[in-house]
Amino acid sequence: MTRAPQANDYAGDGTVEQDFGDTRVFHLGGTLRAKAAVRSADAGGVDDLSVAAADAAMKDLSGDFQNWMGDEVNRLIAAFEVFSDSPPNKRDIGPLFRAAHDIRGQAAVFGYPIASEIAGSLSKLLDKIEPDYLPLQLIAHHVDSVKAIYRNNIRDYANPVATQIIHNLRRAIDRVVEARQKAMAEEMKFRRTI
Amino acid sequence: MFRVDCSRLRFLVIDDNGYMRRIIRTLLHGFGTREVFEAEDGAAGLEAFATHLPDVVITDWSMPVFDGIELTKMIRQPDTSPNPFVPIIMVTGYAERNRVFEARDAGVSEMLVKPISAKSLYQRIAKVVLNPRPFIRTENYFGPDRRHLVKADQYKTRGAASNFINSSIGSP
Repeated sequence: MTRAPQANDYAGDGTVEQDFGDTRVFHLGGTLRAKAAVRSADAGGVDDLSVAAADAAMKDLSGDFQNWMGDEVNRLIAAFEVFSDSPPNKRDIGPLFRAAHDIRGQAAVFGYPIASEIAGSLSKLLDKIEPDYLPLQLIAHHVDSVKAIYRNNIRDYANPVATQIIHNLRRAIDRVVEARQKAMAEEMKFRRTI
Repeated sequence: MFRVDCSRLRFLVIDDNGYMRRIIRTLLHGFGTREVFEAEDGAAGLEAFATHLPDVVITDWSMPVFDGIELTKMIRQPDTSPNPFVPIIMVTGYAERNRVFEARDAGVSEMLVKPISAKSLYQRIAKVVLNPRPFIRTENYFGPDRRHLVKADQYKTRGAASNFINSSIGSP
């Protein structure tokens, strides 16, 4: 016997539920839409006035960005010091990763896109390599580079020093990741033979 | 054409980084929002969610204690959550494909990759308010339909397939 999908008003807010046996589909009743949607002549539904007002508010806030960036860089330096000073078997990668990850996400908003890219490279390194195999020297290069970018107020990709730093770090990371993957493959191969 | 009047919406912003919370709050106030609540980790965020019942949740991914993915899974518990249908916008530095799939499978409504801008945030809010995707409940998933471009007719097709299977093997 065929069973038709059942439709009913779920929770009484206009949400319609269809029951297909192993799957249920809820078509939302549009409560939020009814609450906040207003007719507009703006193309694409983007409220240009709201966006412009938010951009203006961000501009007012931007006077603080240099100090905030300084705080984030100091947090990264402190996290690295704790990490490198700890015995290898007691290293907690969390605070260092979060400090790098935050700079990766925010530095571009603060006006330091190159620092964001370097911190992104460091995040990738910390994410891909097991803590026991992390090359401290390479992490230190990243932290020093972010520090140098901030202290020299380098904000422009046209700066040849910044471009060279990024290029060198990328090559160094690729080499480390490649070497680690190769070592793991060798280890697997060895285990299979014994 | 419609736009969103953000002054009518209540937001909850969850991020362990105070500067990021300040930036998002500033953008939301710029959009006209008056009610913005904040929490600095997933656990506090879950409590604030139950207390303030926001219309939209904006959360970071990477946080100590429990992260944005775990928070999303808790909110998407259909039998215990105060509002399992709430739109969740995840703000993250992760743009990798596997990360996007992980967020989608947890029940995130929209992803916003940092660095954020006023326009990109507004667009995500407009999308979840004006064009919310239907929700799906299966044995292993509850959340927005993971296929972004499904037309209403396709749910009928899905129903037809389900009916055929039920009629072939017998309904319980």
